[in-house]
Amino acid sequence: MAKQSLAALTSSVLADNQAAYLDYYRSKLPNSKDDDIAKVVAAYKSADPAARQQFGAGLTGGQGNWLGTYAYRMSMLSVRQEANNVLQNGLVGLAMAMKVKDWRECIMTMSVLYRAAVLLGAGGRAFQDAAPYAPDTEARELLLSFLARAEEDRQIEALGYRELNGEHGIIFIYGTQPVPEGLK
Amino acid sequence: MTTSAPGALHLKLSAAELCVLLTAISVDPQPFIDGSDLISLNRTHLFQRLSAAREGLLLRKLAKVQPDDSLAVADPTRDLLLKSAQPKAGFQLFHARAGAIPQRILFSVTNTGTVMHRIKGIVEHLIQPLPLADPSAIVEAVLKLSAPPAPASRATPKTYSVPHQVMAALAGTPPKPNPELLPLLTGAGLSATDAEALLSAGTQPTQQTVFTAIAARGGQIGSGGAMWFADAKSAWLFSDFNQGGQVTVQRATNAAVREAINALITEALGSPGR
Repeated sequence: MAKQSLAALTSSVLADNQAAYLDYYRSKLPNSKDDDIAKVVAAYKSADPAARQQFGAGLTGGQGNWLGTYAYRMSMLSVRQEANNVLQNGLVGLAMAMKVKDWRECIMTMSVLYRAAVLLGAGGRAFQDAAPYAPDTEARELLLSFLARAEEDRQIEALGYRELNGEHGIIFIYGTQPVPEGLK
Repeated sequence: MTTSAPGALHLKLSAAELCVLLTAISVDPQPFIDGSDLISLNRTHLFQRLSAAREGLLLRKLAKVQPDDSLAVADPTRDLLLKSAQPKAGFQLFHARAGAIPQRILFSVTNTGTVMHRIKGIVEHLIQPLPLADPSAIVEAVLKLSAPPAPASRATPKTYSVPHQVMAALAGTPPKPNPELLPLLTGAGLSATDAEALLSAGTQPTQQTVFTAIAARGGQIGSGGAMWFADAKSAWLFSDFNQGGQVTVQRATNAAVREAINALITEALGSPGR
């Protein structure tokens, strides 16, 4: 089967559908949607810099939401699977969405990705390794700016998250939200 | 020989969870969380981290809330933690392998069994009873975790008595090359080729392991410990740490490491492993 283009994959996997997107946030980790978005991320990573920049410029807010949630989910999955490549997919997924997401939301997601990087023994190196995949300079700088924060300000608690373990491993959950069944 | 029941409890805990559980059963968590990331949190974040850990423990039913809001730790969890924290004898293994997160493993021997507590990286704690309720299980576990590479020769390796400073230099993290060590090794009878191979493996090891017997109140007991390391070309074992400023060194083989660990366990417990 021929490989789908990045544009075709993006429009089929990251369809603007608010209800489906909200379901994805709380759905079982991992699931087939995670695999589908991983294919988008892989296609993006293998594209040349100009195509990545074009991708960032053409992304819609709805598509950015999928990628932001994917990044959040990969922060947990990477620790559960002890997989640095999964963490990098999460970081790249977030970088892909940076052109359309509020930078404050990006920093919040970076806190859980950073925590995952620390747990996996990679620390800030994971961010540095992912940075070249950012769609443009602005996104790259935003990603790397997280490492310039004081250690205390990088903690997930400083950005409102809490960390606990469920039956299937680590969970990062925001504020006082109850833990969704899919993440337990 | 007693074998632990199939499906025996295995606990996988974060440092924060371990801290909450130990506190709930009135055991000081400090020795187990030294070096963890909890130490670097400010008071507010630490409180939040511990509160979330408590929430996770309740979610996993490892504990439940009592009327006074304190935690009641589930019996199997409590038993395992108490065995781990209050042994009659203890041993510690530190194992580092190139490209992998270093591990510290604590072995706790009690009258009813042995518990292995693996501390991986800065946060992950895996606590489990060993399959054999016998200290010999420690030997098997150590070899499984950190067996030296298979030697080229099956011959019993020759032993040498070398100054303690050789081992001290190579036990550093990271070990540092020191040209003064070479004459100390050749002076002890090693060939120049072997001495160079030892220093090469010792200063740039692909794996390094230190096994020590720990006294009830901290510190080493008896002959202290054994250290073995390897690179792609050779593997070496240091043992008999306390012999008047000298230590024993030999090529590390599976049998030599087994013998060294057995000797330490025997000395600490007064009975042989296997």
